[in-house]
Amino acid sequence: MDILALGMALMDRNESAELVVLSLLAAGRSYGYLLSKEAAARSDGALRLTPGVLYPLLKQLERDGLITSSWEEVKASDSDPEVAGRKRKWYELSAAGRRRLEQRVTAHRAYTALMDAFVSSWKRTERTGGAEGQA
Amino acid sequence: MTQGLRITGGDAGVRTGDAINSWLDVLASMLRGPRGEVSAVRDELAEHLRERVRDLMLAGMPEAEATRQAIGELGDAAALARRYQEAIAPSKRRMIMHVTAVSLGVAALAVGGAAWFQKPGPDPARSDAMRVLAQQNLVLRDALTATLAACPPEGEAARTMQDALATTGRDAAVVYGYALAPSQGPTLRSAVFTPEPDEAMAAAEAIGFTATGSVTFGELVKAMESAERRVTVRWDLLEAAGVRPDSEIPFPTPVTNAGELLRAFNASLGAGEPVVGLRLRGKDFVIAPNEHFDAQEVSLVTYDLMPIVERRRVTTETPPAVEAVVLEAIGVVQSLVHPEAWQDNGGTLAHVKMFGSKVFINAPARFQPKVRWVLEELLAEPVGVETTAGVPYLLDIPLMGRLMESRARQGDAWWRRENVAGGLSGLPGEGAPASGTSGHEAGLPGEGASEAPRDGGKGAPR
Repeated sequence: MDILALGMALMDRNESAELVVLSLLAAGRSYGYLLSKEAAARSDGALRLTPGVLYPLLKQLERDGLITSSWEEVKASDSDPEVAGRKRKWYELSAAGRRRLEQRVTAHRAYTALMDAFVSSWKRTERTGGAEGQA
Repeated sequence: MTQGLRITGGDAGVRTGDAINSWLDVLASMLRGPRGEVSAVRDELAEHLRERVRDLMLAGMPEAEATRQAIGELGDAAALARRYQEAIAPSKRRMIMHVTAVSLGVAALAVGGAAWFQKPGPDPARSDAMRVLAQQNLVLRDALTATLAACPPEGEAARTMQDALATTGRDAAVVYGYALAPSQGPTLRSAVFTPEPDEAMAAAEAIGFTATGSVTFGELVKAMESAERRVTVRWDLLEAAGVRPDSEIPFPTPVTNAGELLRAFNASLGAGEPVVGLRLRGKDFVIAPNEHFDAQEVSLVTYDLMPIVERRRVTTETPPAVEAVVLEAIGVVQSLVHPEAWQDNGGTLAHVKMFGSKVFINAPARFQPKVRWVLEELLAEPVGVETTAGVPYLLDIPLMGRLMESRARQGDAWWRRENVAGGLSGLPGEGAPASGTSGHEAGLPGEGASEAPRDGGKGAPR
């Protein structure tokens, strides 16, 4: 499985997507499309927050009080002032969301540290056994 | 049917707006919920699609193709509608995982047998849930089993639980939360306020005093004087409050110490609040009216009630305004903590000011622990099953919250050591790097498994 496919598989799990979205919003308010672009940019395109996952997740986070939202009217500078513009929904991390993020990061670090303990010992075994390379 | 709804083809000349609107019409027809909610989903996705089409066109793609790709990226309309619906309301799958989580708690109880767990009632869904669990989540189950098998008695058990929490993450926390709940059905949570120990009163209680019949207040003062402690009495202030050396202290039941006698005296004066106060200044006693001490010991304390506001917002259908929740909380405090003392209630000793979610309470120091307790209890308010769909998350579970805090205070070193001693080896080393995508997922149940519905006011024991 290549790294992109792995990333995609993980992003289909709400757990990871939630951590990514909360982390991105911790840096400041954002909206759906911008969040998906930022996720891709930060991971050199390896991590894609697909809209089919992202928007329902935002809805869920909002329902749980972890993020708050507000609407903004978007208009081109040369547009008719009488005609209503497009609507953009901005999201912001709430205090509860910030706490959730802290907890998720703590748990995530502890878990990856735990896994690292196994992975690193496996590497050592491979070396002493003289095996070459790994999948 | 759903395959046909996905726009994958179309004439090259199709207009972007038309194609997007058609697709959104299909999606909207599948969404259930208030009209405003559906229309908000539609507006948000419309904006996403327009921006995506624009970016693809800027990258050189023709409009029709850009439109098709943007819509294609949203995927199947029916699948998207289903995800939205799940995000709005708890799905059946989540209900199943809820049962799994509860059952795992039951299994944990059986394995651990820690004395502070109350055994839950029978759960007919348990065997099914355990089978699902066995298929999906060997690592978490094994971690739980091993942790609880090594579970030492109370106190130590809490630490061991905390270790597993830190290493297995959120899902384990949820599971432990259920395991720690006293039973499976909704229970009424209750808590009792325990005043902080009063050192001066404890010192007075250490002074033996036996008497029958009637004793005067002056005799009590004399009895409290010793080689070790002097007693300073503010007779001027006490007399204004109606207390004199020859005031009689009736005590209907035999007393054994000076502290009991002072309490009996205050009770005989009839007022709701004790009139005569006792303090320690160094080793010496000071006796004066409580009013005098209160005026000297005023403290200004600020509380940010945002967590209470947010809790209320998560648990009610119509989110209330910040001010409404804060005012409600202030009302509870003023009616429970020395009600007559608040300026709002005609008193003079205490007053409260609010600013947004912040509350400033200027009151005698002895009021503050009770104020704090009342506010903390508002935060621990049980949630109703019909209005919530989330999971109790770490700090939302009272005991887990205390464990997390205790671990934060004590640092990392001890829990790793204890855990190894308890039979769980291979715990994380110092300073291991946090990798990018989540290794956290590896041993946990299928997607969304942790999103069990809240369990309706089930509280952890206090």
